[in-house]
Amino acid sequence: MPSSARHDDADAAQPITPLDRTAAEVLARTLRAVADPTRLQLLSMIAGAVSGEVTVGDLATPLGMTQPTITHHLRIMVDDGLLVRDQRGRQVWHSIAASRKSAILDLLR
Amino acid sequence: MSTFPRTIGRPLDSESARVRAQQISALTDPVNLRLLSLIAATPESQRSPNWLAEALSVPGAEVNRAFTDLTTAGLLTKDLRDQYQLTADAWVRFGRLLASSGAGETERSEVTAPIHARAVPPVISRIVDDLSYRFSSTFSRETVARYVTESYSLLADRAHIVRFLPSLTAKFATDRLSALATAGGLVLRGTPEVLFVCVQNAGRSQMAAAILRQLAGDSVHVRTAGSAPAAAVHPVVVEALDEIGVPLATEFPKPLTEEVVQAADYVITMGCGDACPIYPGRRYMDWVLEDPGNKSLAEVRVMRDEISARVHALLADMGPTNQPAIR
Repeated sequence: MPSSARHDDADAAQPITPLDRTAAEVLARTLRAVADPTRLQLLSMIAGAVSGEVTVGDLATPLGMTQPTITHHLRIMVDDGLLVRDQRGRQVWHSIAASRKSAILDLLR
Repeated sequence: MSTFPRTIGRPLDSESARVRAQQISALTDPVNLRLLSLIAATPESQRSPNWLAEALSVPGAEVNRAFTDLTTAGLLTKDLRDQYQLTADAWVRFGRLLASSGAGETERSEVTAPIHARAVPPVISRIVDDLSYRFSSTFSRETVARYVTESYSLLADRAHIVRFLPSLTAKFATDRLSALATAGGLVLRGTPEVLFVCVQNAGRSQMAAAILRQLAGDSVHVRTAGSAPAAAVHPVVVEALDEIGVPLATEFPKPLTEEVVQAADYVITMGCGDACPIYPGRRYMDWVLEDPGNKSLAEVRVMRDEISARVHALLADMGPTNQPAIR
């Protein structure tokens, strides 16, 4: 019957290797940079940008925050390698680092 | 200030951002993170409290504290048998991160199955037009055209499909494109994706999917595929489901393609063997069930009830957040 059958095979296929101590410490540090509601909101706006990149001004208006506040949050994520900063002329553009993109999109789901 | 507004993403609402930040905060503690990873990776039968404490090399009290933290954050939940399980949120948001090194960032490979050079009927261009419009914010026309043409070839190659080929092509291509968008993170979706795979996609996987759709509605996204799809869903299966009021009229057997596996958070196989590609960070389950193809209606009813019980248990495992709301 169903209830007894479940026990045999519910976990039959397990392709995951668990994180070792070092990997977990590295990942925990990275997660610290995104464990903040404002930074998650910023990431969701950057992730949804059609061109993939945004300026500080683009982000400040919808959130009703000042540009220095936004800049502060962006810097934390740039320092951690989550965002890439690109200065072109007088404008500074931020985009999500390609290597982190799918992990960040998962966090936002 | 920009001179004209650029199109950027709508920010997460503050409540969603708060919940996600809380979950991530719980995982900034390495012990919590390793415990969650260990539970994701270890069969239930092995996970005694002593074994976990030893595997993590931390005191038992620390393990208990981590269990509490993760449960409070909505990343672990106790199932009907009082066993800790990852919640749907945990699989969806952190599943890929919990798998060990190198696997964290799988390269997104666009599907490059060969497109057969064949003349496509005019209706196929019409489907390309319609779907290009529908997916215009996500995919270029070229991508849509490639998927539609390829979907047409995959279905047409199985010569027994003649009737409704255009509408089946449109449905199959739509499914694959939305799976591709989800796999690539182009659509932000909070609902878990479940994929049922069997050999023919004509019986077992169709029954499980239909029952889950009926139970979960929009709170779970359900797809099916077969490693060697049949021409049509077995009539006896349609009949057995109709008896319990579960519709299966618009479903049809579809080949297994890479992007639907990539998009899935839960992959449930039913005897497709090695045909189902394995990606890290998905929850894989194998349900051992016989093929209902040559069975009598009475036998299929028994299978239907067993599948229904498994689907109920799966939904319970996915956590209370995904139960249909009680009004």
